[in-house]
Amino acid sequence: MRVDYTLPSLEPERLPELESHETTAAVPFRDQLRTPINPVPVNWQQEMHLDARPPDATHLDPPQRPPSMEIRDAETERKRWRSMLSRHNQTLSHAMFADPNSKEAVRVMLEMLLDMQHAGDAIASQNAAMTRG
Amino acid sequence: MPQPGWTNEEIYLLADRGYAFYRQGNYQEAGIIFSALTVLDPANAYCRTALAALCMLTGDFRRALDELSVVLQQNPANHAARARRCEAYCEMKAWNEATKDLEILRRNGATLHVRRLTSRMQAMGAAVR
Repeated sequence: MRVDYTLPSLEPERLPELESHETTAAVPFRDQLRTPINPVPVNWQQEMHLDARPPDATHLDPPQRPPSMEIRDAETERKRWRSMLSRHNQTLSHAMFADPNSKEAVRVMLEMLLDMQHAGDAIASQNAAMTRG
Repeated sequence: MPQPGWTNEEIYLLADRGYAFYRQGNYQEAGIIFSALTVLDPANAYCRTALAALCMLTGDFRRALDELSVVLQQNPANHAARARRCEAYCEMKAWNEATKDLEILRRNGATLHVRRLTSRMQAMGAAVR
């Protein structure tokens, strides 16, 4: 009499097929960046906003976008921002304000934003130069 | 209405940049933007309230009071602005004025603001019921 000692349930199972990376490798990296990112899991306190800071006099909500305004791609938005700053900086000297201090407040703001833009441009061009070698 | 030469879209873009500075904790830069925006769009309650919030953060309670009073002159039914002004009065220990704003909020049924402000005033030692 022949005894088979191998129990079916103890036989090693077949390993699941590994996912082929051929499909993702064919997709350019730029497109992979656009794939939706899974939301970060939140606990019940976060889900019910119990961790949110209660509103007080120092709390600020984001501004409401005008309904007529549409946000386009980053490049177009950057161009819009730059043209706005440069146009108003050029026309500020002709602008009429009832109070001279008012004009000064606008001038200070435009100057600060233009300085920041120039600093950002300098960093970007430096990075581009370093990348090229 | 913004000043001639400026559009609502441009006011929004600047306010959004100011808000980004606020979120980053760059209160001085945010204050510069919102100060200019109150000039460019004087009736914009958001920009004026934002400037008041930044004044509160930087300890300039007097200016916060002035800005919030302008907002309330334009719209006395703005309960959020009144609650903020009440808080600014509390910071300045101006209890009579704070109590007046609190009473107006209570009469208008702004329960959440009233509860929060009452607790705050009691914690600061004011005699509030």
